[in-house]
This record gives sequence, C-alpha cells and structure tokens, in this order.
Amino acid sequence: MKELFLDEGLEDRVLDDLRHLWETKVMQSKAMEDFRKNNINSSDFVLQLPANYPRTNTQTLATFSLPASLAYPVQIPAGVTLQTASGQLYKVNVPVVVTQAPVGHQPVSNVSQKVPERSEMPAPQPVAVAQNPVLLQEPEPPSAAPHKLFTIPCLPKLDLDYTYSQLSDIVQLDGAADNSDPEEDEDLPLEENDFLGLINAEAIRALKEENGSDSNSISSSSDDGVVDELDPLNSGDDVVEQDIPDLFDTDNVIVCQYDKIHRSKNRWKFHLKDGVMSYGGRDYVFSKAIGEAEW
Amino acid sequence: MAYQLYRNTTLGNSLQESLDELIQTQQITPQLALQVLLQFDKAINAALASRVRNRVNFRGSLNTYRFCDNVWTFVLNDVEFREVTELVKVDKVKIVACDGKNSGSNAAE
Repeated sequence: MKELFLDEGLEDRVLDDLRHLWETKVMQSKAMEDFRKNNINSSDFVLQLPANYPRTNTQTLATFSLPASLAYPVQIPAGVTLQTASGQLYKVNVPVVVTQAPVGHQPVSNVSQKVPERSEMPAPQPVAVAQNPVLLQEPEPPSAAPHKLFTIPCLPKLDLDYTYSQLSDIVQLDGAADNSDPEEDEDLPLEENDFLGLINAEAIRALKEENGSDSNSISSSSDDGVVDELDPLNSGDDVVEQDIPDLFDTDNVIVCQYDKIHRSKNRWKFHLKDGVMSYGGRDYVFSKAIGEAEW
Repeated sequence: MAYQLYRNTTLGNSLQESLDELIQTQQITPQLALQVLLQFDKAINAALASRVRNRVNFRGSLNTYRFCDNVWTFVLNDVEFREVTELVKVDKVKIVACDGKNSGSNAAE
C-alpha cells in the first residue's frame, strides 16, 4: 500500500496513522483475542512509578518493550530487571503483573503492588545509569521506604477510556442521544415522537385493523412506553418485527463463501468455506464449515 | 477483482471507520480510501484462502433463507458451532455466503 500512498504524494506518517487507528479499533472491539501476538510492533507496557517516589524525575513514565509473543497477563517475578529503551535499569523487587487494558493500543500495567527500585548507585543522578548493569541485591535509596503498597491509577488508561466512550457514541445506531445535555430534553421528545410516529404509522398500515381514532390513541399511548426503549427496534410491536430483526446488524454474522447448499424437504445442509465468523463478541475464521438445519 | 464480502467484518468495518476518519480530517482522498479497500479485499481473500486451515461444524434450526444474485443469506436460531477445540452456542446467527466456485462473480456490498 505504500506505493499507492506515495503516489498520492502523502507521507508515510499518514499510512502509519491509518494502521494505528485501524489496530486501535480492532483491539477495542475485543473481538480478536490473540491478534496481539501477530503484531509486528513489539508491545510496550508503561511502568508507572509511584507518585510519592522520592526521586525528582520519577513523575515521568518509563516505557518497556516486551517481546511481542507474550500473552497477557504477563507476570514478572521478583528479581527481574527491566531495561528501558534509554538504558535505565529497573529492578523489580515484588512480582509485577502486567495486564492488558481492554482499550487502547498499548497495554498498560495494572499493578497492585510494586516496588521498582533503581539499580544505579543512589548518589549520582538517575540519568546516567547505563554503566551499571550489575544488579544490587538490595538497592535501597536512603529516602525510600522499604515498603510501598499502593495502587496506581494509570493516566493513559483514562485517556483511552475517554476515547472508547467516544467511539461507543459513534457506533450507536439509534437516534436517541443518551449523553446529550439535559437542556435539550425539550427538543429530544419531539424528535423521538416523530420517529415513533413513523414506526407506528407503518405498524398500523401493516396491521390494518385500527380505525382512525383508535390509531391516534394507540400511537400516543405507545409513545410513552417505547420512548424508554428506543434502543432495540424490535421491542413493543410484535407482529411486524419478523423482518426487522433479520436486518439488524447486532446479529452474530458469518461472512463466507458457499461450496454447496442442499435441501431435502425441510432439511438443509450447508457446505461453506473461507469464512469469518463473529459471535459471542469474538471473531473466528474457518476454511471449511459444514452445517445442518431444519426449517 | 475479489469479493467485497469481507468488508462487513470486524476487521473490515474498523478499517472503513479509520478511513472515514482520515477523510474527515482531510488526510486522504476518498479515491485513495477506495484503493485501500480494494487492496484489503484482495489481501483478505488471499489470506483466508491460504493461511486458514481449520474446520467448523454447526447445527441449528433455519429461520429464514434467501437466495438473490447468487448470494445466500440465512438466519439460523439456536445454533451450536463445534470446533475441535471448543463449542459455542448462539441464539441467532446470520450467514451471508457468496458463490465459492471459481467462476463466481463479484458481489458488491
């Protein structure tokens, strides 16, 4: 794809942005569990140092690169040394569990307790560390307390939550704005009523049973009930909804090719191939699928 | 030309959404986005044909069936998907299947 992008005179950065956005969305869908393993980029986890760590420049986050083939959650036992890209060494004194945040591109470490201590000499500034690869058995900066047990709120995770909720809003199919301002409540019921008026009009046409006066009363009474449940279309009306759920795309969907579809009376046999399935919130693939169903 | 069938998957939809975002921020042109999608079609068709090698069985009851433009669309209820490793049960599933024979024609969205 690079050639196409370069033909358009665009930078590589745009292509990287596309890939990043794409992967972010795919990961956020939670539909692909082990996709991370196949990712070319090495996975990073951000080690968040304790807020009250005595060192001055410990407010910054240290980024570690883990091998891409690790499956989360990753447990790092005590005594392991982690090295950042800049060469700083951190020795983990307490077992660390790195879990993958459900949202976002980078997994963020959720550690319940950790005491990462620097392996450099306590006296010099922590910047120049690379010359001290030797691990000290008990590196304890004089001002550091021997025990620090706390949970650390992960800032990047908060940002990612915000992004996720943004995306949730985009994915939302119906017109009702749950998170809109309360000031706009006056406008909303009007829109909903119009929308419901359309639905009810179709229902009434399909049923062809009510009189004109009855239909008005029915539509006004059902408005109140359906306003609360605007989200699933297949609620409220029963008879007409046979076709609508058929087209509703929160179904578990399988997209594939068929080799042979066979029917005997009401017994159907399916021979399918090269399919992508999505059900139960997860994605699967198959090269061949054989199924039976009765109609 | 490969089937555009796989654009309505998690992977394909997220790609389309990303492309739309880039278009909205004027970083790419719609024409380029179309090229990306065409390339995606080729890649996903090739990948599915070559890299996937597993088999699934399923059984359920058929709710509806439709055959139009050489595309089968089924809605099944109470389906069990059985693979060697695991079993998954679903209340409702929609199957969209294009012609898998070599001479099958393209299916636009």
